[in-house]
Amino acid sequence: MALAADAEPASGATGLFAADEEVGRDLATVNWSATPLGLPASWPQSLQTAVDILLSSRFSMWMAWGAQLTFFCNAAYRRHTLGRKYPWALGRAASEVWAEIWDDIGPRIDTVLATGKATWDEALLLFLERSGYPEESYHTFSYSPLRDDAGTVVGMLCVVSEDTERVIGERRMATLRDLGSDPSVVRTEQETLDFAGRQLDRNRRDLPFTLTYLFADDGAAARLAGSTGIAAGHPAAPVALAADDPDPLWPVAALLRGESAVVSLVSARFSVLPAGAWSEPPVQALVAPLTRHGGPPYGFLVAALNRYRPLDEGYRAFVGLLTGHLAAGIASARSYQDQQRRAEELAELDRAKTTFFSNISHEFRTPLTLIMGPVQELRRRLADADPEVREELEVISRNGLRLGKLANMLLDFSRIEAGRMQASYEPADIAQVTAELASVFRSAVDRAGLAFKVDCPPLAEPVYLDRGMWEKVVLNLLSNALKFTFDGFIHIAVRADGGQAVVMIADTGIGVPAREMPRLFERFHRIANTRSRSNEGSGIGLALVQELIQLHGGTIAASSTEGAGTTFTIRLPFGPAHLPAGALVPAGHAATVSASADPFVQEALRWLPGTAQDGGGTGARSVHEEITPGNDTGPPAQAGRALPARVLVADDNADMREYLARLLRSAGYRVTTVTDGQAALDAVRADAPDLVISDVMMPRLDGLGLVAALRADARTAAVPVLLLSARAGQEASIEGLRAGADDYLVKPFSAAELLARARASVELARFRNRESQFRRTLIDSLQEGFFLTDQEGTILEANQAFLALVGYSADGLPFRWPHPWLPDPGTDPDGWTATARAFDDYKRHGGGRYTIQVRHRDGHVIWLACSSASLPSPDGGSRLFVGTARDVTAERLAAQREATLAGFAAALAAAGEISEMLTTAAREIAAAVHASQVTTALWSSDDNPAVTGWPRPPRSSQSLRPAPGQGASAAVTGALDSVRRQPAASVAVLPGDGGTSLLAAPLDGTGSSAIAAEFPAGRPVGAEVRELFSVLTSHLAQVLAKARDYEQTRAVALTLQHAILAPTELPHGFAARYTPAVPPLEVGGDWYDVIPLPGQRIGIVAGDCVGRGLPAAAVMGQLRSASQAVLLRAPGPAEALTDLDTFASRIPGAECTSVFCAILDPAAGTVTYSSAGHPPPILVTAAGDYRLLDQARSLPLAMLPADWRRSQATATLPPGATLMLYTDGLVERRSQPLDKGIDAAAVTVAGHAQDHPDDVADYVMSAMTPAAGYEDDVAVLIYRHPPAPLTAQVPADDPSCLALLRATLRQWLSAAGIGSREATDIMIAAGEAAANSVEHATAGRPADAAPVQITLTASAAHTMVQLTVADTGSWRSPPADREQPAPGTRGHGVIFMHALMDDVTIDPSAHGTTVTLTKDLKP
Amino acid sequence: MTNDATPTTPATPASPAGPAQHRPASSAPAGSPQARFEFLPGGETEPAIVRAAGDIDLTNVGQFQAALGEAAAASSAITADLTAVTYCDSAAIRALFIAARQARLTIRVAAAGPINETLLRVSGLDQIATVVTLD
Repeated sequence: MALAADAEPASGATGLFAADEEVGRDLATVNWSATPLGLPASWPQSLQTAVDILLSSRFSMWMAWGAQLTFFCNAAYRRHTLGRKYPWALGRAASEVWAEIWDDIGPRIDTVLATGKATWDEALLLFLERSGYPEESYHTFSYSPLRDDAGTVVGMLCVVSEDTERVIGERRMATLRDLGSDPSVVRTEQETLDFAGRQLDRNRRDLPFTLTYLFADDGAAARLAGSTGIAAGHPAAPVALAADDPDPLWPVAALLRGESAVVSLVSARFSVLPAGAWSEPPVQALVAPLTRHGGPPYGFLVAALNRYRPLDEGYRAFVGLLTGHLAAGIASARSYQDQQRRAEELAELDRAKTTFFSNISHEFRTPLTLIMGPVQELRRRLADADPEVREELEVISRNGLRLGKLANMLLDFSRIEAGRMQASYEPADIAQVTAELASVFRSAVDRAGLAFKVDCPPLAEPVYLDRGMWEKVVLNLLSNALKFTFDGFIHIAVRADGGQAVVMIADTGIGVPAREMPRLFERFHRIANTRSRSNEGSGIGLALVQELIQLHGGTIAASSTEGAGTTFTIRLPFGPAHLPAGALVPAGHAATVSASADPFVQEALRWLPGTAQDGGGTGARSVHEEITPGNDTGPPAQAGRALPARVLVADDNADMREYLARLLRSAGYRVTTVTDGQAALDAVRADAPDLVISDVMMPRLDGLGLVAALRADARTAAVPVLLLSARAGQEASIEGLRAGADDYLVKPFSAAELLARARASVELARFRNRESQFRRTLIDSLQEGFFLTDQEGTILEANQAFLALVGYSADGLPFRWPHPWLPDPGTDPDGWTATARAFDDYKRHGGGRYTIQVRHRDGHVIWLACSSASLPSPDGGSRLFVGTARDVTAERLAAQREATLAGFAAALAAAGEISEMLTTAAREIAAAVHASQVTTALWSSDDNPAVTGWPRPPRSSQSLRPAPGQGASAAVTGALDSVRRQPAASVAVLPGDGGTSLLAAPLDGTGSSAIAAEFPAGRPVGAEVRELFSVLTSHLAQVLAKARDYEQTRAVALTLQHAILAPTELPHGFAARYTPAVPPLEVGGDWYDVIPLPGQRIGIVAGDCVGRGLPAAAVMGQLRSASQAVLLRAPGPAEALTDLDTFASRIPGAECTSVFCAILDPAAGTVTYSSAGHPPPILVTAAGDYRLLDQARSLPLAMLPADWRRSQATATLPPGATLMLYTDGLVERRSQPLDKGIDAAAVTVAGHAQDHPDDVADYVMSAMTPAAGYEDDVAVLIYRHPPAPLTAQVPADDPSCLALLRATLRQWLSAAGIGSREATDIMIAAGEAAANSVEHATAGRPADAAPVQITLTASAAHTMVQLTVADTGSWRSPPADREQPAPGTRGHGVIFMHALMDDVTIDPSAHGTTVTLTKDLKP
Repeated sequence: MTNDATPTTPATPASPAGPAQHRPASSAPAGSPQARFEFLPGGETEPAIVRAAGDIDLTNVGQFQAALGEAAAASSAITADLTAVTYCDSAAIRALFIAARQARLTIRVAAAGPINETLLRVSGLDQIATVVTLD
């Protein structure tokens, strides 16, 4: 460690303090010599290390060391905690630095020093004086021991995080929540304030005391309505404030204007103030108005302030919310009181109305009676009067009846309302009574043209009926049916069912719209715009019917289909048990229809054609006016709010839903309605509203479930919920609040109450949301993807950039692990493993950087570079991880492509021939683009390309020699063909067979080659794959073009080389081998030649030019041509060599060439030769004896002195002899004399004297090969002289002898140097002849005849082989016509002989048969 | 199934010429590779295979035919693998004709083997059997 820093303090934070430049510089300037620690240079290593760690850490830390506990801290601590004490604190005693809290922390430090054990304090309250005043602050910290080099505890390290904001924020939030959680239904203003006061009183830290004043209606005079932490009447809390006080205690004037004010409490006027939760009284109070919308404030709140906290924005907002809540509570209470009062007024009005109706109806009856009586009398008396008079009387009578009926019905209602309906229930045969009532309607129904079915069989039990009431029921219903039925029928039926009497009245009328059904029995409700026979009606008929039936203990229900008809079903219990005993009477008078039926029938008749019309018709009727609280128009703007708050209403009851929506809209909210909890949850997740108002009882997901679901999700946890329930009582509301609801209302509730609660909740939520919205806006504005996960990997939050990267929307949040865009373990196990490993790593290390592959929702694969770090969860529980993600697909793909291309190029470079190159390319491309098959095609001249690929086309068991292109499907072949003439580097995407897809590209621009890759069905080929394919095929095209050039050049060179090399077709009996010393050349300076000469003679030459490689080959080519020419003209080898001398002297580099030249005369069995300095050929007899042709030797070409002559010698070739010419490369070895090599070669040839010349050549070449291979050119020419003729005899009666014959013949043919193809033909022909002998020659012979023998002879000349197969038996003639036998029949033998041989003669005779077979030997 | 032809035991009926003649010492059986016949049963979709090796002549063509017959009885398709045959004459061709009448016949021959195109064409065997020539 460099201690130079101490010598040069001015150089700043180098050396010991280098870990942090700024703090380090300040530490360096401390006068350390004045401290017990002394100069840093003298510090122990342990201290140096501790300081270095401290300064390096980003975590807030300080430490103390040594006797005085000298203080050090790092930059984070300075920033977070130390405040103004920096840099003063550095190097001072810790007790001096933290004198104000030393009582708190000193004992803890002592403990650490004494015990060596660390301490832990969570959110400890400390009053720091870092900002110039004692400040309430909270810290979570640990003191841990620091040890010197000897291990003794000499100091301590404190790691600290400050929790002040959190602790105070939570405290204030708790107060606000408490304020909003009033579970009771608030009744009065005072109750509201008392409740609020109790909540405020619980937070005496932020609110040491509060006062709530309310203004009187007339103006500024105010009374104290509530106080916390201070007694009413205290000098600071007068119970009343006068309106005209010129110097008021609290700034009433400003408050009336709606302004807040900060009032200093340091004044004698306030006397000694209570201190709240603190030891010192507050020094300031914030006074804020209780604002009323559209009017002067209700009053104001005096909030004494915590003297240990600054009055910052958060504190002001807190008090602002308190006043808002109080104001809302007051508004709510006042509104409730107003409503209450109105409701009472209405109830009073209703009572008055009932009394009025009751009275008026009653009063009507007397005059009506006095009218109707005389009218009836007049009608009777004036029966014969003038028709006009009678008509007038009818009118009076009818309207009198109608008025009477109306008055009676109203009276009935009044009675029912007042509970004064006097009923007399007598046992009755309901069927009979009902049928009689129906019968009075029959004429009217008939006249209306309707069928009238009355189906009233007697019932077994009586029903107790009030006759009068029952009449009204039946007549009303029938009258109703007639009124609304135009075709079909009216049906009335009585049955017993389930212990009840059931009366059904059905019609085929216009029916009732479904939406009207619920209100069918509502009093005064009339269905608008309905076709009917009459426009008349009070809308009380059905309501009365229902009331009357209920008085009977029965029920009425209606079912209706619009346009099809309506059925009313009345159910009445049998017997009297359900009726009040006092109202029962015995069965009375005979059942007759009372006069009350008359008005109904009269009225009904008048609706029908043919009777007088008194107005009405089917005109428009008055539209029913709904009675609704509030109205839809003119939503009052909410002051100071840019956007109206959005409220989501969830209720399964449509009426309630509509009611709430109307109410809220009228209050200026934007309202969305849903029908159940699940829909509400979906809606909130899609777009969170400012408030959810939800019923408790709902299908699918109830209100409590909804609240629980919202709270469980971090994104929706803050959305306030107001629950509505019909269940009253404390338990229900507690249940709701425990579930996390913000508020709870019990039905029925008043509109004002609901609105007040809604507003309070919205305000609260908006406060709550402000911070999170700010944060959300911040992260959404980040260009990089941002996400927040919990320990399980669930993504709780993600910004738009991140969601766009993976293609999912925020609706899907939270995304549980494994996220939907991660690789699928099933289809991409590698990708999955890599991802899972990255996840484990960052969980274990609390963050990190990693790059993973993900699949965008639309299917394409992208690479994300993620960086994540952990942080504590706000709720203090598990840890959270924040991460950023960046799309690095392009970089990644580019790098990948580079690497792939590099590997591809290397693989191609290693490939030799074009076909190998294409196979390699196919394999590499298949691997790179993950193709299932890659196929290449090369077109040469015709339309059948040479096709290769990877994996190779599978060989089917049926086809053992697969045709080129086999395995390539028609689609692939078509694709290859279609792109081959496209411009180079173009890539086509084509459909393959069975849903596969293809990529195809030309490999040059000339149409001679193409490549196609096939991809499995269901795997779309992405742009990146296409691009990679294009890059690789382009490279392949280039390499291929070069390779083709090279191959072409090489082919030319080879052709030329072959042209100057030895003959490719040797005459029969010859074998040759040639190995150039310099690969890849196929020629060198050595050569051999076989030249057919006139007279069946053959010239043979072996030569060796000086040097190696191409120059020697060039010379060799010329000499070889020359030697051919001279041999054709020269009379003998010596002359030929002499001519070559001349020739060689003219060719640069040809002198000193060694040549052996000979002329074979196979017929004579001689070889004449001459050697120009060439190693002597070896002559081996058939028996394996050898000698060298070492006569007639002279100097190499063009080396002969002028007076020298070349000589020649002749050697005899015994039958079957082997002659081997060679060049010195075969026998020359550095470490041994030439003779030894020649001997070795001779011995080898001798060892194979009877083998086929080809085999001999192979044996020699392989036996003579040096360990390191031949170093020089080697040429070997072998001639086999025809062997002696063969004669073999076997007995014909033993077929196994045929094998013996064949073996003998095979060996002879080999020794004669006959080619294997020809030898096979000869073997079969001879075999057939011999088999014929075996099969037939013995047939039919007498048993005592001499045994049949088969004799085989064979002789070879230079150009032909002749065989005879002779037996001593009788020959069975072949088919006379000599035609080919039918396939599969016997007799192929002779045919085969003719087919295989050039000449076949069969000579049968009495003593045997001789088959002569002749085969020409191809040169 | 492997049948070893024993050259000393002719497969054809004994010669009607009477007692076997004394064989000259020089004609002791030698040089002829022993023939082997092998029959591999086929499967549902694979043909039965008869493999022959060595020389097929009068002495053992009966075994060859038997092997072919067995294969034809077992399977509707036979492959006669003659790539290891070193000699065969018209008797073997006849056996193949008979087999081709019994089952669908494929013949595999070596290009350099004794059964060449000439033989197959001349005999007409190439018209009723599939011939596969292997290099």
